Amino acid sequence: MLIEIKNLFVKVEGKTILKGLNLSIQKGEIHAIMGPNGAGKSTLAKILAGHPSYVVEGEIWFKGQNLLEMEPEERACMGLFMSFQYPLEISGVSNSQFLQAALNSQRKSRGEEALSNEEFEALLDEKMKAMEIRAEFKTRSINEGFSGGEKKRNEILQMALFDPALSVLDETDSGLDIDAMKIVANGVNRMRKPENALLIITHYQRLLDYIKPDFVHVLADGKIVRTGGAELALELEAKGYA
Amino acid sequence: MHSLEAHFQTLPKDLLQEIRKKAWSRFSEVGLPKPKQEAFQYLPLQKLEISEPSLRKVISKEEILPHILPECKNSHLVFVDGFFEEDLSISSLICQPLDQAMKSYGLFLQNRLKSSLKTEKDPLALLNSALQGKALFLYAPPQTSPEEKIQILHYTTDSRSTFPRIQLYLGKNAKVSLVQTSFSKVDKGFSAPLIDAALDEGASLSFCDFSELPANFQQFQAFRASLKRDSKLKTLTFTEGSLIWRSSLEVALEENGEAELLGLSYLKGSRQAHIHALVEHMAPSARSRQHFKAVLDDEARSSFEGKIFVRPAAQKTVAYQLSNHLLLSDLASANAKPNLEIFADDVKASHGATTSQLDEESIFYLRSRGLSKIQAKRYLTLGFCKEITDQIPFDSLNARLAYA
Repeated sequence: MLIEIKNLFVKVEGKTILKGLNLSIQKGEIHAIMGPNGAGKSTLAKILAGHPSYVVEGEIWFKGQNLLEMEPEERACMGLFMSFQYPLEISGVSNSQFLQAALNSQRKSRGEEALSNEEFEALLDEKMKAMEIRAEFKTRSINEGFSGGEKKRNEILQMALFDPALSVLDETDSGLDIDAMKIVANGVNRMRKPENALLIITHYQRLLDYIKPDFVHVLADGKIVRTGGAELALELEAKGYA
Repeated sequence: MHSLEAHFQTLPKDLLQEIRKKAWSRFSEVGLPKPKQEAFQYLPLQKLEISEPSLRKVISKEEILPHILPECKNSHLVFVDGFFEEDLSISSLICQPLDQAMKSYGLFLQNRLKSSLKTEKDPLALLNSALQGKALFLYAPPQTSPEEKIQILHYTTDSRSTFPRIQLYLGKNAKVSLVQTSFSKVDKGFSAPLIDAALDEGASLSFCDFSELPANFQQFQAFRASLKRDSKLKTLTFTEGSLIWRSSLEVALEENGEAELLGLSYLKGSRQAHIHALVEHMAPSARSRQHFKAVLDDEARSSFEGKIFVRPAAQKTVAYQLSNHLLLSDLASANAKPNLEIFADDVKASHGATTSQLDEESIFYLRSRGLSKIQAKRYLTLGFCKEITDQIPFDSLNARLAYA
């Protein structure tokens, strides 16, 4: 088991958002979580990444370790990646400087040597080309002045660089036009490996046309209320969540 | 005060004597800074201590060499304890002790010194005029533009007070780039340096002031510039602050002049930095921009008091002023006081001040990619500074920014 979430309760500012959520993901699997607005989908993504402003009860085991005891950076270094629904703009820090520091920090934690500037540049160029991101984005500040679609592509570029064991994509399809979604989906599909897994959080079924899930879960009122195969997404699209 | 006056009485009867006397009498009228004065209200004046003025001391070239920037090996001007030392200095511009220069450039200098004195209100700048050690006259003749950047080094060897002074004159279309650095061998001291710059038509001056002083140092520095038509000034004030640190910048612009005053204060511990900036638009079509940033950690304090003054004749003025403060600790505090006084009607002017903390969501974003909390904060802080640090014209100084 790659990740096991047991009886997860989450509160923020006194309000309970997740109410006993259970979910297990094996290596090689793709899971999709769908659900109405306010069901707690994005909260789940943030909890997995270690966002500090939530009160969390329950258990999360990632690669056999207690995820809830880990700092956000420790989770990243262990191979957990969360693609932000709204990636932050950070002025004054160049995209490539940040990516190199982040990648080398992760490598260091695994006892691997840091990539030299040349090695990193070569890797970054290759991944950027695959994500169809223009070279000038390297020197620009993180996400600053990027369009919504460019920000999402930049997230998937990071996923490609870090090669995480579990990627949580939080509404990566929102704000993408159909061409951008294909680029993102192709990028995600290229990274698939038997030892990695994906958790896709989405509102709509359309991304799942390009990245085919093994399991679809419906999250409503803080719990998973239904689980099925890929066909469940089509049914939800046709009939709604009600 | 008594030791200062006693010292004043011992100064030589040279060609500067008359100016010194005038300055001393102006200083006596004005007196030392008082906490109730607006210009000094944020300073910890109870700690102000002006020690007895220092005397000239001979040191070797070897001793100062480690403090010369690699870019300035062949162009540096050295002050030791406030005294300009010709033998330790090298420059392709005309540089002489001011008392000597009074012989060859007497008329120009007399006029300049007198008119500067007349408008000067800052007590420490007046004290500088009265007690200046061996001052430097630096002159870039018309049309000259030396390739090398010129370093001014203030080298302090003991804790007595110093009053280094530079009279700078750029002839028509001359172009000069200066960087001022300081080094103190002692951890306590007092210094009130002053640069008085006159830019003739079409001249261009870049002045980068890099202040890394010991924590217990007291520094009151002043920079004065008058810009004739079509001339340009860019100043960059970088400081780590100290026990008391204040920089007063005053610039007067004539027609089509351009001034850009930038600054970054990076303060830790209980260090302080206080900046006073005044840009006076005297004539039409001049442009000015003030942008000062401060990062405050621990119990650091800062203040920024900036003023744009537009005279009735100065139509078509464009003047901007902005100060941004980043507080890294709950105990740090920053004050900003923007001021606009506009007496012309066709003017574009604005001012703004912001105070912020590091954004928690941004920290989380960086951490979620594998950077430690410390790294994430450092990146965000560097990002805040970058707009200003990008403007530092010296690679060696950029590399020295210890937090980078």
